[in-house]
Amino acid sequence: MANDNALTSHVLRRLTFGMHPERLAQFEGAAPADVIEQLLAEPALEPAGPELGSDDDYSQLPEWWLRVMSRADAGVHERMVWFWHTLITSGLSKVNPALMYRQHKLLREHALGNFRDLLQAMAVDAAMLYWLDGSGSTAEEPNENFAREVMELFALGRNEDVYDEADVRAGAKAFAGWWVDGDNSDEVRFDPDSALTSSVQFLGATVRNAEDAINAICDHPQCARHIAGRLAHALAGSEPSEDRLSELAAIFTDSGLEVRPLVEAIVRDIGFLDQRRNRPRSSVEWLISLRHLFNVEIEGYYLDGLGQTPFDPPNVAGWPGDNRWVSAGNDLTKAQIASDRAGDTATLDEADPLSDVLARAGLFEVSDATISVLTDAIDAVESRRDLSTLLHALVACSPEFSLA
Amino acid sequence: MPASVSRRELLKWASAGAGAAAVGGATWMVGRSDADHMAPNPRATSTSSSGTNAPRTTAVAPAAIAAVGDLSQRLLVVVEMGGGNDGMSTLVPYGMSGYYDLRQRTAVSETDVLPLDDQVGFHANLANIHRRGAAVLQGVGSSTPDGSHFEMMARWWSGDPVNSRSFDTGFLGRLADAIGDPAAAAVAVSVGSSSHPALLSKKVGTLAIPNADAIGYVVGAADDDTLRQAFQRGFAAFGEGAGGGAPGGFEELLRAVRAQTVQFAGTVGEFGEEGDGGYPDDSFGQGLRLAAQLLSVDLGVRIVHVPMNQDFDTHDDHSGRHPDLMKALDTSLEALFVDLEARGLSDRVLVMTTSEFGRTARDNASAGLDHGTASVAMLMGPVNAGLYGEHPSLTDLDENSDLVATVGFDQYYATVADGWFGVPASDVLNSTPEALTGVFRTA
Repeated sequence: MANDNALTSHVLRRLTFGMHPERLAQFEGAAPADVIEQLLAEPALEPAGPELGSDDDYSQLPEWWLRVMSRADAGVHERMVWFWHTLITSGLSKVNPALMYRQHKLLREHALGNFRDLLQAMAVDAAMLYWLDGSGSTAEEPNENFAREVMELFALGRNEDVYDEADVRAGAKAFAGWWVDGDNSDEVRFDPDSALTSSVQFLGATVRNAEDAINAICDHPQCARHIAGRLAHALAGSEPSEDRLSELAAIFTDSGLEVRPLVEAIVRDIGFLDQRRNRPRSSVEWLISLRHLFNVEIEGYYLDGLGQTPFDPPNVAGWPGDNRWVSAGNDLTKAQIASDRAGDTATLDEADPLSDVLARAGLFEVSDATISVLTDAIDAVESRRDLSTLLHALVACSPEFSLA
Repeated sequence: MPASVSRRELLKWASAGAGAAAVGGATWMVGRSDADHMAPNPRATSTSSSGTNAPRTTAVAPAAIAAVGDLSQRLLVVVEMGGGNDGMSTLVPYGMSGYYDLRQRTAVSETDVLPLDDQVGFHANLANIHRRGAAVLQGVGSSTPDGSHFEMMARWWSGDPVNSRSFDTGFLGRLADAIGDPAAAAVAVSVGSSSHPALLSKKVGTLAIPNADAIGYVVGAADDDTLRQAFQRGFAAFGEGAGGGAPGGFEELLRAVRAQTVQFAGTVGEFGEEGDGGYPDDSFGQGLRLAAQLLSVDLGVRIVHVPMNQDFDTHDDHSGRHPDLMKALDTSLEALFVDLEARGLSDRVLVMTTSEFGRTARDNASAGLDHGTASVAMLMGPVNAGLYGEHPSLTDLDENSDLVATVGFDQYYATVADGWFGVPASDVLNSTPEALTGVFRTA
């Protein structure tokens, strides 16, 4: 069994965004199960909002959230805001920053609340209405984009046994009628004239409007399974077995789709502590962990080169996952960031620089191969400053540091 | 260490790869240029000006090129138009009955068509492609189409038009396996940060890279720069050890990719070319430039996959958005062909386009087009320009009122595999689809 530091680091990697140095001190000597409970008990952050209103909004908004996510006290709630953003997303490539922030506040409000409430809110959110073309859709000639993706991507997963093209078309009619006023207010309004006036059959239910349709989606047994599976993957790093997935879905369903009990069930599971290093870090996780390791504010624009800028997903499915983060392109970019910024790091402990830098990185289980590379490096440079720069840069580019 | 780049340079650098970065390619970006980011609502500012007033070209068509006879010299650039490109706004069936009835809000006017015959013609914004000539495949799609981007992309990437789960490799990866050198660092490259499913291979290396700018960070430190040398040595050494992770796990993958990255960087070195190379300074233009660079040096790279990273998913305001996409395609490809001529590669490089599906036959109330079925595909380079396959009927539609594909995309793939590379279709596809004949121009 790994030592407590390794387990604490694992818990922090999955329930927050990495191993903030203050967290290591905070949980010194605590049993891993207690670390989990303490993190679950922490209140949500209530950060001051971003300063929007200038030409820089498109970069200010992602930078602002990265700063919040990088805080020592960023915890389970913040992690869940990020999870929902990766699952039910909209993006700056099509929606302005003010509306993206408005959507973000919905995610903050419901992150550990009720999934049905979250999905109801998102269905008529201005950013979402722009992102998936709901605004302007009429029941007579509906736009199918939101109806398809709310099922395929957000709530049910692609499954021919669950819904078909007729459901997409029927859902599109039910979701019609919501408009975002194109003037500066960007207020969402309901236009009865373009909405459905009768009813349609959707997922086996009779629905008359968007609220009915979201309820039909949430009432479908596949919804709880889909969300449970996605969340288990994000937190535990692998797909749960069919049996385990059924258990988690039952917990989620029985709670009325409350998110908190589902999170608790996943991370309190006996196997959670064993699922270490079983998936790659996403680029956001890697960059925030690098901030913790280097203890400097590493600009969010580097994330463009790593393919994951918050608020700016590449497409309606959010970001690609897992093995697709492992690429030559990301490898080169990590070398660049580490090279550019390792010179700003703290000087390492003179007696044992290797243990010092690994602890700062939250790495307590490191392969012999990696130790050997780092040990060789110690002999390669002369000054303490250069040694600190080198070890920080190499640890940042080690395989272990790229694992969640 | 190299001097830090300024923020502006970095953003420029990043934008060249960011789109692909995020998607590894193949998805439908939603308008990603810097200009878009400055506008409060990019869509509100998009115009169709570039579409409707483009002059008809009067330039003389360049002399047709015959393909190099040595099959081992042949190269491929794959342009992916993620999001679902509307075939009927690319190759406009302006003379076919039904077109202007189906497209009440989004039809391309006959005055904006560059005719190929009395039935169909290129959108006016494809003037360069029209002038150079392309082999245009009509009605390319699946016999069992699906409305999901992800299902259809998975089928296109893997190479099976009816089942996304037939293969654990990608079509381009298998093609690379069939033609490539296992000793090369990479036989196929996707321009982007994320590894790409279409390039999954078994025998040869394939990789994803957004640009070559960061290569100098991992190879080539000056002799007197001991710090940088030590970093590069250690960076490479991480790819050599066996590591402590489970076999087949991500740690092993990370080490394998590291070894490949370093080998690739060492072979490429630095291209050392300044400026924009005559290409548009966006991710697609610069991606094509990287493709030309990779293909022009002797690295063993035979296939480069370049996602266009612009939003073809035109659910709304189609006529305001699609002409700009055609313009972007045409302008960047023209820069590529000019560059290939300068590099002496014109007889060696085939360009093919892909897109997961076309769009609905009929437009919606948002003056847009939802997910459809068949679309057009284009082959450019040493080809016999003209129309191939039969255009789907616009009056005899399928049960969802969409186009019925006349050419399976496996036939399209077979045409490239067999006709261009001499690889039997059955080696890379799970059936023996009939390749189209007469497509390539030979000496």
